[in-house]
Amino acid sequence: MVERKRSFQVLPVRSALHNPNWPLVLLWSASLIVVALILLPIAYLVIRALGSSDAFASLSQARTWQIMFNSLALAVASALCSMLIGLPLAWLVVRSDLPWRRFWNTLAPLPLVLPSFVAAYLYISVLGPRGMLQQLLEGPFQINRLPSIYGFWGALFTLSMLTYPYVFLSTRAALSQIDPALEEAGRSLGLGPWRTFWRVTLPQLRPALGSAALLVALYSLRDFGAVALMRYTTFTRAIYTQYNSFDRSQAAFLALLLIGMTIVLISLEARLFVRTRTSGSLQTSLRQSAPLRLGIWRWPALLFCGLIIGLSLLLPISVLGYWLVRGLLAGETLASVGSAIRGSLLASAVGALFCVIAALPVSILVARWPSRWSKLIERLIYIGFALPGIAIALALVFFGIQYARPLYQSFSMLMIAYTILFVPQAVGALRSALLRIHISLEESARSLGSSPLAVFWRVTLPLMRPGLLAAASLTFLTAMKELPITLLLAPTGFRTLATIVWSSVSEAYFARAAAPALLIVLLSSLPLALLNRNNTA
Amino acid sequence: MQMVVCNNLDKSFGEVQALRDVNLQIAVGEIVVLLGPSGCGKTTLLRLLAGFEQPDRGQITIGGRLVADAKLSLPPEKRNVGMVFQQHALFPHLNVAQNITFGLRGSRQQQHERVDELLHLIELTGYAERMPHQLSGGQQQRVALARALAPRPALLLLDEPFSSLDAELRVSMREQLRVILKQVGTTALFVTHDREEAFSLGDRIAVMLAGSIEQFATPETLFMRPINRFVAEFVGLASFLPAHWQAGQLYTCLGPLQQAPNGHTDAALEVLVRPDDLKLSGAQQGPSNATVLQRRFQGGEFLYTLQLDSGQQLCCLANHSLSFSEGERVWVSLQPDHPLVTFPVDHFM
Repeated sequence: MVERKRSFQVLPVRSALHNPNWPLVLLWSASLIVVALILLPIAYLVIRALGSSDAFASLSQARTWQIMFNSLALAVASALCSMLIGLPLAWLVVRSDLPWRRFWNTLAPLPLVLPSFVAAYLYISVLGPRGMLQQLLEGPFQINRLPSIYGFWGALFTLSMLTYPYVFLSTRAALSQIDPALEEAGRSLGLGPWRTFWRVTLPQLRPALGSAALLVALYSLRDFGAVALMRYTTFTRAIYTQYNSFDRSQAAFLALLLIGMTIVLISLEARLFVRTRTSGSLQTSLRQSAPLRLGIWRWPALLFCGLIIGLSLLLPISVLGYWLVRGLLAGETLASVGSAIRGSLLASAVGALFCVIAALPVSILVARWPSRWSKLIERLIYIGFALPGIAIALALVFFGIQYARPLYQSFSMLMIAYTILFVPQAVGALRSALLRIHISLEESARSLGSSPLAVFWRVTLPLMRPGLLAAASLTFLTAMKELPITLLLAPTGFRTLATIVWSSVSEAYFARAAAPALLIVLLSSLPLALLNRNNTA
Repeated sequence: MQMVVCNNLDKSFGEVQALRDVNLQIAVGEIVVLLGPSGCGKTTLLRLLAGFEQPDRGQITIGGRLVADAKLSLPPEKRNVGMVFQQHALFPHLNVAQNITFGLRGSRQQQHERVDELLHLIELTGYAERMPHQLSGGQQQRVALARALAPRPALLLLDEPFSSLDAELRVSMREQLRVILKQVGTTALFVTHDREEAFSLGDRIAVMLAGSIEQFATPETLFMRPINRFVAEFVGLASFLPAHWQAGQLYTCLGPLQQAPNGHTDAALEVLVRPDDLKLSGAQQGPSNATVLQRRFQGGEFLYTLQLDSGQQLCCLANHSLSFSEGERVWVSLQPDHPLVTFPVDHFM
């Protein structure tokens, strides 16, 4: 924030420096193109929904309300569950004397690498009808029917297991930033440890918890893979089925509703959780407080950690291993996966490249020429966060068929869709990288006689290399796990690992899905590991 | 009557021994200051009293009740000990009134009255609804004090509460603090590394070094009769003149002194000389025995660093009318109006 203020003060000097402002003109036009690209799906969905008379009639249908209720229920429930798991886990790891804290600490965030459709596939194969659990119980116990995993509970279970790391990570960070003196003050004023937690610690965690919970709600609202495989009809699944049944105005209308709901959630996050100000003196020499002794409670606590890590990480991984081995023994060959690997790598890499190129001018404009208008650009870009992949895909399908026939089902269309979906996060990463580069470095290069373009090439770009790398790997990683856009927009015959997993699981070929699923996890966690190493170095 | 009694306290953190054999007694209503360089263990002692740490050996009683020894440690909330922290530690999510009532029980009406009373005491009437971040550093510190005083603790602990304030504010804050504490009649233990703060606040001062209390006495006693060189240097500017005791007479290189050494009968001694025990005059009128190395103008007077011809360095205070430049020759003589303290030479700290 300090950096941004500084660049505000510098603004008049800079504009004077750049007298014939052609670099600025270039930046602005590039940024406007990107913004137009992001607004295209919304605009087109609006046109499409308005254009048909029966779209609004569907608002009166019970089915529409049912879908809305389902989506909201799942979002709220998964936010609650992820908090009930993530908060105690983080507290135990940071503040208690729980045995093997480092072990739990390392494993707890890892479910993040599982794409939702992979997790759902693995849970279905264990807990579903004629799944591994039932087969296990059938022999000795004669249990022939398990409660069905399909529907709300299955979707909730899958999403909670996938999303509690968001709550865990942000709570862990917040907990270790709280001044231990606050809790000590609570104790010295006569409160026991438990009441101190409720009255002192928890209120400090509220912003972190709140934003993590909203993030989880947003994840559930946008998720396609888990709800589709668990056959629970939320917006995303309804849109997909309606698209397949060629009721497209209806699908467009549902997509608009979904976008509206995500926008509401995002603005809630911005409004409600303005960070409570700290007393401004906390940055100095943070002592770590002594871990709280659990005593007899360590056993239930250990059981809790074991259960969560077991269900969210160990179970999916061992089941994946099981299907992989069974597939190989049954003669599944990796050959069929070969073309999909190439497809996934190509799509993700080119998509990441597109995204970084599109994000670059926007982030430079936002970070270096702060003004009311560039702020507006930034806001519009962040609307992209509210766009679920399925809505973008749908809009581009319409658009392609209507106005850009040659682009329809082409690789370039897929790349455009990826760019729309992922450019906001790339802008975020590049912007913070740019703000870390002090403006005086660029100014000194100017004063040494370099032109603006030369400064960018010789100073800014080399300095922001870590940021570029981060943005690219982040995009690569998320693109690798992307499903609905690829499903709807990929050229005929173009297959990625994600689409193979999807089609195999849809037809209950669990063994066939194992190898591509494992590859997705490996290929998408590789850049994550790279990212972490860069951050710590 | 003693409010606090500490007996033979030891405390180690891994290899580091933070406290060794500490004994301390604080009378009811007394303000005691723990003074020492950073890392001497004074904050550890405070945290033992508060109940955030447990001693390895020894006992602590507060108000006649045993609160901690090697086996037992009463949790902080059961000790009735208030604490004011270095960085205030006001709860950022609560306003001033809510912060102050945090430790209070009883009816709303009673709590409300207590808040009014305390806000009046710290001269912040009308600030009840403010949030901590809307207060200045000094105001935050006063609210932290009010919060700690609210439940009427038997003992109030203050951990360098003024270290985050600027110099001027510190002076006015410590005067206010002493007035408030005496008004309330609280027993208080104050930790600081600032000797001025210690002198103006404490009824008695415990000087700590490397985990032990070196001397525990009134400020005057500490200054006039320090127990060793470390205490002498820590409580004020001090020079040490070599001296020897011979045939009932104490000789220094600045002439004989009309006094006996205190306690020690060793032949080789050192005399503690404060800057105001010396008299300085120009060398034009007569002989000289020292050179001015450095001078520091302090307003009312000059503080000179002198080098005696014997090689010894001394600090000397002189009236502002006696201006010498660096390198000038001067005559310096010992003219104390009280007996000077002597230490045996081999007595290091």
